[in-house]
Amino acid sequence: MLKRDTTFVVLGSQADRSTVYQKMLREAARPACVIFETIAAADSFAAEIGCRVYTSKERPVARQAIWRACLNRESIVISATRQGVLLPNLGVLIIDEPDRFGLRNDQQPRYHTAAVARWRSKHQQVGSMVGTAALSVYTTLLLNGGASLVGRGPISVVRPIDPRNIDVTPDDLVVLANRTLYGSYPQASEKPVSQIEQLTEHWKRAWLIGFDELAGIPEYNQQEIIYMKLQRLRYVADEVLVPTKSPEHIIFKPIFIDHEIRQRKQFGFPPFGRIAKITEPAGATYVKQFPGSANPARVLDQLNLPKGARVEFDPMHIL
Amino acid sequence: MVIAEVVPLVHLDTDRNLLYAIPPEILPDLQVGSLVRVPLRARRVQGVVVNFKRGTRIKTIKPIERIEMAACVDSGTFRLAQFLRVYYHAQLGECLNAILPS
Repeated sequence: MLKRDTTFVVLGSQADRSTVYQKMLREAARPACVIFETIAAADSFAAEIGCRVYTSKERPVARQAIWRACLNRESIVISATRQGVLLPNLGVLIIDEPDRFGLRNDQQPRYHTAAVARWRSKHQQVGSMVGTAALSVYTTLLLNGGASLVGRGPISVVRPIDPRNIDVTPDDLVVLANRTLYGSYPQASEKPVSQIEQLTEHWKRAWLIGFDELAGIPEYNQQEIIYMKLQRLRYVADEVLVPTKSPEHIIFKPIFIDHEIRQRKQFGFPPFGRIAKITEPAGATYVKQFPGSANPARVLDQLNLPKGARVEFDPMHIL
Repeated sequence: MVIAEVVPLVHLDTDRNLLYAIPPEILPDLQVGSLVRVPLRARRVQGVVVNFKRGTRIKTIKPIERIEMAACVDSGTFRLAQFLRVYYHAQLGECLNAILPS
């Protein structure tokens, strides 16, 4: 049962996760809020279970009514986008796919849904559940910290193959890392890598074309991003094939996430350290790393930033 | 005279709270956490009452215009706003603005 002091990680497809959320919500402490990445997903879940909706699409009056209901600790369930993480007096917070929440708002503070949820879970005893298609650094650390795992991942396999052995058939899905590759496999269904999360059909085989190019992008979390994409592909195909010149790449090994956690810890990257991406009014952009325990105000004071400099903490992408 | 300390929900050049006089007609309903409408230079902006004081050395002090929601921000929400303020190095007013429904 999802109580105020518990954390669950739900692993599975979108449909499986939705079923678990509904089951958990029947007994969860109220007010309870389920957070989705998009308004469409929040609307769809609300229509499915018949709960209230808290998204930017709703009228201010409706949003204020939900705020009041939460203030008064009414027994309601809310389907929301990221702003739902800030609702008062929540008993339970469920976040679907926390690793896909970027920093969308341009106004300060540019907060992370998962970071706020983690703080509320620790300091305001909000029971939390995180649903994901694949275990990431964040969800693995939750599990290592004592969270309970519900469900299991897909059973299909990811297999690196020699790029000279690509034999795409009309029944295959081809996921392209680069737009310039469009039309290279007219016999199959071609999709860009950015649309992996929206795929719902099932294929016998899925190909990720351009893996080496993706793996070469020098972002601190790039390996994890590709790993998550590959894991999601496993839900829509019996076999995921990755043409690559590096078949021994760590991404293909079962220890990948543990290795990634060790690397992040060693180099002080989030979530073990923090990053401030600074953009000066003249256009210069640079990054400052600092320990998670440091006060960001003191770190920025030492930099003597010019007036109007824009600072983004722990961005999803540095480049 | 009782004065209200208000955090306007906009970006300010200062990190200090602003002081406003409380008109007698709204005094009974006003509390810490009330959402109010206040004058700020030539504008009218929303703000949240964070404290009350007795008296001030400032001679001319503008009054709160009206209460928009008497009990809007509770102590848990204040703590959440303080966390966001420190963690993301933002102003308290900006954090409360992000938290409250538009």
